[in-house]
Amino acid sequence: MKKTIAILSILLIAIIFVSGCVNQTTNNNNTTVNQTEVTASQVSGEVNQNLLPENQTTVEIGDMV
Amino acid sequence: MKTSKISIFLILALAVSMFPAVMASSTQTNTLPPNEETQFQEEVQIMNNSLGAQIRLLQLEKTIDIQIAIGNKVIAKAQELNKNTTELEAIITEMQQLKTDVQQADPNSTEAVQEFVDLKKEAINLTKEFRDKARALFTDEELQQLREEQKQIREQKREEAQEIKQKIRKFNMLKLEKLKQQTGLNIQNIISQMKQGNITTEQAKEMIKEEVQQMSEEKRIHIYNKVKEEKIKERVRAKEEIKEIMSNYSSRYEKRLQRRLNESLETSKKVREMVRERIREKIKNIIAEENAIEGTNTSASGIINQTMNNIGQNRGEGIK
Repeated sequence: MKKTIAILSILLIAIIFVSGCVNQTTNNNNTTVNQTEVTASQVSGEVNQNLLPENQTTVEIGDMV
Repeated sequence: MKTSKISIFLILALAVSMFPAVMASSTQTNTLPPNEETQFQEEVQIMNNSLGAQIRLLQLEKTIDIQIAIGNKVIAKAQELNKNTTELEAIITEMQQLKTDVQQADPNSTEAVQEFVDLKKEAINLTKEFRDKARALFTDEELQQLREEQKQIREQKREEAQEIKQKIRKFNMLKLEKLKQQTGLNIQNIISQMKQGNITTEQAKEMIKEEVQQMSEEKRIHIYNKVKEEKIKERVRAKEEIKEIMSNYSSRYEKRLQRRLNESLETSKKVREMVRERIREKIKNIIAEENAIEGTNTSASGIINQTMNNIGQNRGEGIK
């Protein structure tokens, strides 16, 4: 009985610990960028992504029918 | 004795581990589905300046305007078929109230992002409600025809939005100016041509592609890293901002609904009553949800308190 409870306790602690770690990893926003090799299309792609398409005159909120 | 201590520990650990799950399921109004959350994060990234905020609010206004036009078309069709349209009309009346709120939102205010998120979230919910109710009124064939009409209205109204297009071009120009200052990218010619109205954003993108192809590898890496770094910073800021905004969404929503209850509405008495009934129902749901959250907090802390008392009692008994 004692052994079972001890095992259960360890399991529970492990679950809480792992879920905490996963959460931490998700929230961890790494702002370090250090690319050493890039193609021209990657660069222009990144630059152009900063620009808004002129024909995007609405936002997405779904269909009415 | 040892067994009881372990049991107490287990109960405590269980109560603590259950807490986030219980909280997540009981705060529906204050959360966004993952796909909407990502979309909101992308949209508010440009709202850290007045022009970006103006663009997003104008886009939202335009979108609601289109939804109202489509909604009226659907209602007319339903009336032709002698269907009861009171609730659909009530939803469209609420959308009109929402559109007025969007028009009154100040893009220069520090709360512009919050207002955009609040009002867009409400627009999504009203659209979903309308869609669900409208779909129940028509056959598949009729729905197909209405969807075709919906597509036409959207395309036609999107084309009309010249003011938004001009603001987007200006926004892009300022973005390129900033990029030039930050990275030394040789794009003055592109910016000048945009300023003179000689090229569109799409043409500017093509010219940027050509410019980058002529660059040295070292310069490419420098620009790439700089742009990426800025983007990540903006994304992190937007994510935090959305999280903060959603944490107290329901209280602002309730206040907005309370205000709308007292607004005069230019519609039939039947629809007006339906609008007010729907608003009262929503307020009731928010209050019930808030009470449920409080109840959850109380019961979770109750379990912990009860367990702590038991520990105290057990210890007391042990001393005796």
